[in-house]
Amino acid sequence: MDFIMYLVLFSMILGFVVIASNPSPFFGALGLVVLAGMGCGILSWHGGSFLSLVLFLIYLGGMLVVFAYSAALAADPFPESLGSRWVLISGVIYLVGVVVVSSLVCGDWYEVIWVVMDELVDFSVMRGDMGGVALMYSWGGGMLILSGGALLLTLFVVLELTRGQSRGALRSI
Amino acid sequence: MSPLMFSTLLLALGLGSTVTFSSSHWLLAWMGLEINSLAMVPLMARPHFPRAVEAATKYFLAQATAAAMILFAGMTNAWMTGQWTIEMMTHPLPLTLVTLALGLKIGLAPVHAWLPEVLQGVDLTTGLILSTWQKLAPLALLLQLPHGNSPLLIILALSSTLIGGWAGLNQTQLRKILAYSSIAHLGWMMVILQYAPSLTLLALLTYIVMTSSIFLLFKLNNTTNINALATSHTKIPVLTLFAPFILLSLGGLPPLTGFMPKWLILHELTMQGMGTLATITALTALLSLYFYLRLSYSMSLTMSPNNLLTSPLWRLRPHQPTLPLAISATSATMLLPLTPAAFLVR
Amino acid sequence: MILSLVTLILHPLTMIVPVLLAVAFLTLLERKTISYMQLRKGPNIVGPYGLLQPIADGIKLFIKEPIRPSTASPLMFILAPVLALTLALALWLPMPLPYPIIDLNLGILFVLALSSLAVYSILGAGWASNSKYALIGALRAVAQTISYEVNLGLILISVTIIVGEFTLQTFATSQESTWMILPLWPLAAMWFISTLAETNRAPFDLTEGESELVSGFNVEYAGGPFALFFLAEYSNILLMNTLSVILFLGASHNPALPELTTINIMVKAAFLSVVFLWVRASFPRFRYDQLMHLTWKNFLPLTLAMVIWNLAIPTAFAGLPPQL
Repeated sequence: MDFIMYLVLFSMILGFVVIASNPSPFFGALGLVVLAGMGCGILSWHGGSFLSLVLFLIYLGGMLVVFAYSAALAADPFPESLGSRWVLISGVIYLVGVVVVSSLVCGDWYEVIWVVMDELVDFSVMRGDMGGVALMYSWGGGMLILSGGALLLTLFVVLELTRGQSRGALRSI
Repeated sequence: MSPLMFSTLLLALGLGSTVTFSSSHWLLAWMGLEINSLAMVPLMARPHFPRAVEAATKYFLAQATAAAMILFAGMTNAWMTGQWTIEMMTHPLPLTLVTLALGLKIGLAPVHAWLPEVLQGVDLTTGLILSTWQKLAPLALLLQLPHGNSPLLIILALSSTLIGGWAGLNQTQLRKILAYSSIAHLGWMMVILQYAPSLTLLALLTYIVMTSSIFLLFKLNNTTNINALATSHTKIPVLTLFAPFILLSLGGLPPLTGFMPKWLILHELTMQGMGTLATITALTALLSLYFYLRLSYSMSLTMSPNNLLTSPLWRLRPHQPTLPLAISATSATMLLPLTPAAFLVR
Repeated sequence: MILSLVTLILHPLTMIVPVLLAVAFLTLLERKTISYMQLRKGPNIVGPYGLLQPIADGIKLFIKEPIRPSTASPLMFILAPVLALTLALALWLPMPLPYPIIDLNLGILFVLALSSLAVYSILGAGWASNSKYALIGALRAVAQTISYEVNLGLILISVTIIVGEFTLQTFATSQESTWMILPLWPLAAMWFISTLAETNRAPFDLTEGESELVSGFNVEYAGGPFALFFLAEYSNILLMNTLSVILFLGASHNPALPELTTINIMVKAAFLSVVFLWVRASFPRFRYDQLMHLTWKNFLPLTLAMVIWNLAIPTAFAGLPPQL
């Protein structure tokens, strides 16, 4: 299990590097997919399986497909793939930077970050993160309503920006 | 844009800032900022020409980056200290992050580059909202942060006043000049923030009054560059006479309102024993003064070389309400006697 | 060491091999069913009743040269079909038949999350082929799949509200007295149609769209990679039907006789698969806007309303004795 987690952590860093080394959007989206997936893996390792599954579902299933969709539609005559010179150079620099910084700053950061809520896994009926969801609905009600309002506003804003046959915002450029 | 949509967006614009004002929790503050900047984007893109859409896009990118950094800083602080409260952001790392992010939101100097570009792309009314109402929520957060004695704010402040004056020198576009003037004024607010926050508020208040009067003036005059200013005496003669006072008030000359915050800030700085800082700040204000003077010069102190017959335009009654302009222009020039004495007697 | 090797390799194989066999015979079943519906014989030369036809097809596909267009993106072109089959097989892991390979508490969420990932393989294939037909097919597939996924997710939420847990085994337990299809028949109907659309089957096979797009996202594929896509697609069909059975036509589990449960589930899944084929033989293809209107304007409001309904009903009747 430890090896799988090292693999996941390493892939996560690789995902970061792929995004940060600034390739074409399509490869950037690929890096983001890898990063998000691996992040969910780490989260589930630390006990947040519900959270990580929901995040995975929403983030990868919904948002990123739309993003990848638009990236695939955007014409790019000379795409900078992961093997292009500058992408490769900056990628290597970032990787070396990560190694140097992590070996300097240090060691077992990932062992103390998360506190798994389920010390008594065998006896607990509900997992910690599910309990968190329930708590969010019971105590964070006002905040949830406001978040819902903000999302509704986002919907309005996006509709307003892209509305119309020829006068949608993105078309006027 | 349908009136219903327009009013919804305006309402959300107000609601977002209000949520931020009234929150003590980082999550809520962040949400308010997001609502606010999201509602602003379609308002900016409303005229539907490419430059406006470009401005809206740039604005969205800058604000989204800043908001993400604020959220990140808030969560980092919650992780490190266990506190979500705004006043309790005590760890230096998230504090620095959030100060920079809020600086990006209002357009402080090292991260100011989006502001002139965005302001140049939108119309004057939206520009007015952008340079007044949109500054309030991030400044409310900046005021609540527990800044200790941080050199970061001084660096932000000095570079803002310097760059705000310097980069405005070479501009001929009024909205860009106003953007740089906004940057310089924000620098003045920042320089005093950790010593006397009430002076920051005072400076913000006077800046809002002055900048709204100048925006409304340009709106009434329908000018967006310096050349067009030269014909304004044929369109609005009285205001053309009055404009230099507003501009010089922005520049901070006595006996106009704009002198008040600068005077009090310099006074406070010297009282706190920071003579060098006060001197440098005062000197950078001279840079801004140059372009205010230049605006006054080309607007009111010269006549464009025309013959007399062509110069008077047919003057129509202005369609827009002039009462806000009258009020703000008056208070932008004549409020110096209202200087609160409490700041002077220490 | 040996034991863990057995666990890690043999156990998945016990799932993978039957699934692939089932897929092989599903293709034959499809050809036979459709041909009899069109009053012809279908494959009947290779083996008795054409039973060896899928094997011959498989061998043919895998020994053909896998052509790669010179302008295709090299890595992604190969990775996409591999991803497709991997995901399609990984989806079978948490299926309780009646004992899953991996026993997950949040099985239904896992299935939903993985099936949402499947669209990446199609997008990758369409984009990496560097062909406009493939790209258009992929974009259609993406739009269609995520639209119907919203719907699938909402239906699942309704069902999980009734069942009370995300664990797949619980669905069997809660359907011991009655099948979920009876109280939730509108949802079940929408679920079935959505699974048709989710797996890109006729009449929702606009991604393939033979008439206008040649073959859609996999037009540039041949040989092995194409076979991988093909296997993934049919495996997904079988999986979706199995999931429908678990959700709506629950097979109650008797611990003394687990084989009975397996047979029960699989017979119903086979029946649903035949309905898939029947639908394919009967209906013409949708127009694209009709497809989108169906989910966004008809299914989505209905499922949203049903979520609220299913939330309200158990709450309202919570205090009543079960006889009522």
